[in-house]
Amino acid sequence: MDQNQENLLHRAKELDRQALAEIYDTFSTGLYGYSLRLLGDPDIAEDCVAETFSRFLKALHAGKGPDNQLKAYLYRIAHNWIADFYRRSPQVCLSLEESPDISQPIRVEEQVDRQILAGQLRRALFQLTPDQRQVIMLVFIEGWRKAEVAAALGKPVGAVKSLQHRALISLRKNLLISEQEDQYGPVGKFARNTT
Amino acid sequence: MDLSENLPETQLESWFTSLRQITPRSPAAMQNGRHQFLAEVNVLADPVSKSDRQRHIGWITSLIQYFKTKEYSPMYTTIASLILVLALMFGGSGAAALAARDSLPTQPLYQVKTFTEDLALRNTIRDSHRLQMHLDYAARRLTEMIRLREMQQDIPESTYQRFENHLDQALMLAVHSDDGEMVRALNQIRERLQKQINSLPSNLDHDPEMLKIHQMLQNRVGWAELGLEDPDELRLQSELRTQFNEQAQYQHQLGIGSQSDPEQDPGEGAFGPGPQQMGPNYGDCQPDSCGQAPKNMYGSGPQAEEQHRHGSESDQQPAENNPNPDLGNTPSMDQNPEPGPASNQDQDSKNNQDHSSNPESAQGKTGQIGKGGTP
Repeated sequence: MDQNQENLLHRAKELDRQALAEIYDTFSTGLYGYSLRLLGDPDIAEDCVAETFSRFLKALHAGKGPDNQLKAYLYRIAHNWIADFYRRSPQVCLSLEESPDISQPIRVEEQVDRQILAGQLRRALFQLTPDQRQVIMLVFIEGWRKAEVAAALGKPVGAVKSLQHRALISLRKNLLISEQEDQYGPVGKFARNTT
Repeated sequence: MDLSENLPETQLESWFTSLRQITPRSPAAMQNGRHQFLAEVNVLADPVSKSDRQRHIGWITSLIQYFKTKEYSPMYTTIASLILVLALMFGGSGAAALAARDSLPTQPLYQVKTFTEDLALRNTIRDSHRLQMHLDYAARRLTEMIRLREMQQDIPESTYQRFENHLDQALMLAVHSDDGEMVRALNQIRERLQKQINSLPSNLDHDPEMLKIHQMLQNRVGWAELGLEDPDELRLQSELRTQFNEQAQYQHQLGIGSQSDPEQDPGEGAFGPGPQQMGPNYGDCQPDSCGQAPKNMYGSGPQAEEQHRHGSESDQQPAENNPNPDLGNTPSMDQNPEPGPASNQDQDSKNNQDHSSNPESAQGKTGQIGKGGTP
């Protein structure tokens, strides 16, 4: 953690309004995206962000909170909130296909492929364990380095590598099952092209 | 195709790229969330005193919130385990002791009651406190025995022994005090025992067990009065009886002679089975087996001879002069009050013809213990 962020966290512990606003501006958007990918609902993702910062604030007020790795701390809170959310309402299903990037116009065929792929990936991802899923999400989708993921999970880097390795093996197997179910999707196309 | 082996990581990454594209966050929603967050910051940052209710009982909420935290804390887990173990140990035993407080000797929890009493005695250092506790516990035993008799139940021998032991230990503690303290303690013992005697049922003649208790108490009152009259004499008698008990116990271990039962001796209690039962033990002693205990008790020096003579003179006092008629019947160490085989004491007493020839003096006769008609 650089000196600037350390200083920011120090001021935040004293409930400095400006420092806290800066933290919110820095991390809330990323947290929203992370929550939205896992939750699929913008409103619930907003709730997740609000609750994450609220818990962070209460921890600071109680004299607790992180001494470093602020980003990892916030993502861990969000991840726990999402896990609790699914524990409370397991019937809620992820709808990644409902969140296409509408900023750029794309062709209909490409959009359909993307939706089918997102559906297959969603099913494969949610068959992983929570830790494996978080590693995949943070490394491949959020683009975190493994050290940051390790800090977020509270595990050693070696354990993160191991988790990632096992997660990819499981993901391939899960995608194979998806390919058998839908051989006309992107995964099926890839399988046909390689054989 | 085996995708699990052939699907390259680059392909996976390209697929994941499609997931990175999400609907951008609404600026209004972001501003709203930011505003809410900063409002919460303002509330927490303001140094506003809590309401009266929160100030008074807010710690309960804090405590509940503390236990709701999800973070694992090994230290608090250890402390909680320790508290639980201690609560089970002492809380459980305390409850058992409380439940056993009113139990009777024939009930299962009675052992807990006596155990806690013994424990309390062992943990008490000051002699004055120990004396008080012995008197209290003797009173408890007496109450238990009376209740048992009221319920038409037999009194266990162990309860008699505990009762007697408490009385003797109280007397021993008094004897080992200095003069002023001893007088105060003996007065206290006499008063307590007199009250206990008065509390006994009136129909003693019909109940041999109650009669036995009555005699026990009378004997100890006699010892207390002897000590009040002449503290040194009581100390001497206590010492002699201790020596005799030890000697009898030693001979019992060697398996010779003495018919005295060390099991009935209350350990360090020199008053042992009581003055009335002491005579027969001595009477049964044979010179060979007992090592001429009665004579040796006073030693062989002139002072001892003087004491022996002094005791013999006192034997000649008539029974009417005895200030305590009940205790006047207390047999002496030199005398076997019950008809039986000729004993060492009988032979010893033949040296004094007055003793054997005067039935009246024999009735009121007391030996070294019964100086001047006192026990």
